Amino acid sequence: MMARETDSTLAVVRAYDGGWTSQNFDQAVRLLAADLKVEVPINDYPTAESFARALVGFGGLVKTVTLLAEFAKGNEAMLLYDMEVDRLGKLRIAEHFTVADGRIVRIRQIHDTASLGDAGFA
Amino acid sequence: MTSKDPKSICLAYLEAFGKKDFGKLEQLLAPELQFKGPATARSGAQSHIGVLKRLGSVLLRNEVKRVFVDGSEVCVIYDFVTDTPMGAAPIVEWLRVEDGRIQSVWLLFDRQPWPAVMEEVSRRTGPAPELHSRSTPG
Repeated sequence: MMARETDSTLAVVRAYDGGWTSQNFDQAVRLLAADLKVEVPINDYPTAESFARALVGFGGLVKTVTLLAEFAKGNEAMLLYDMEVDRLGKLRIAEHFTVADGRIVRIRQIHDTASLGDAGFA
Repeated sequence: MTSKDPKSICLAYLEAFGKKDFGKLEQLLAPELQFKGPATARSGAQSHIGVLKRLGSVLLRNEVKRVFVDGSEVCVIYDFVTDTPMGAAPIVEWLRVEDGRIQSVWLLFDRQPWPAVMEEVSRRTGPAPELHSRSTPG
């Protein structure tokens, strides 16, 4: 039962990640729940729509994404990846997802904001 | 006695660090440990323990929030709770365990609030050795 839920969680998170990193933003945004909660070190996204807009804007600047590791348990998953971003350079991100009913209901990112501020993203 | 499963070993490592039990830490870390943080990399358990000893001067406890396991790899989300104005810092640690010891540590956190914390660490423990003199712990 838990294994099936874990597989389903990973499938949703992989589809979301695969969507925005290949600039297929419609695919990624469809997987966000209407009541999505977002916790990030900088900026504030009170609604799924505001996060989706930021995803499209920021995602367009991402040149490469290298997935380092993925973990999942039950309805939660974790992705660790390196990105190469236009105007910013390298950025390492840990992203923690919670999934319910086939959609992402919570995203929490942990990353270093030092270079983001310098590049004007904060 | 620590169980040999990777999750127990990694949680024992964070607990030992929280309790400043550096003898226990030495048992849990492979001598040739590889460490990689947002700003630096280092090799060797003794070098890593040297940094943790200094950080221990401001650490109140590690509060584990989530643990994920995939074979010999463990990913832990925790709060590094300090007695400094920074308070708690969210940390992600990705560890690889082999033969009952942690072989590698990959650490991710926001460096922004750390220069002030490291100043306080230096005030409490004295000037940092050259190896550990960065303004963030990793």
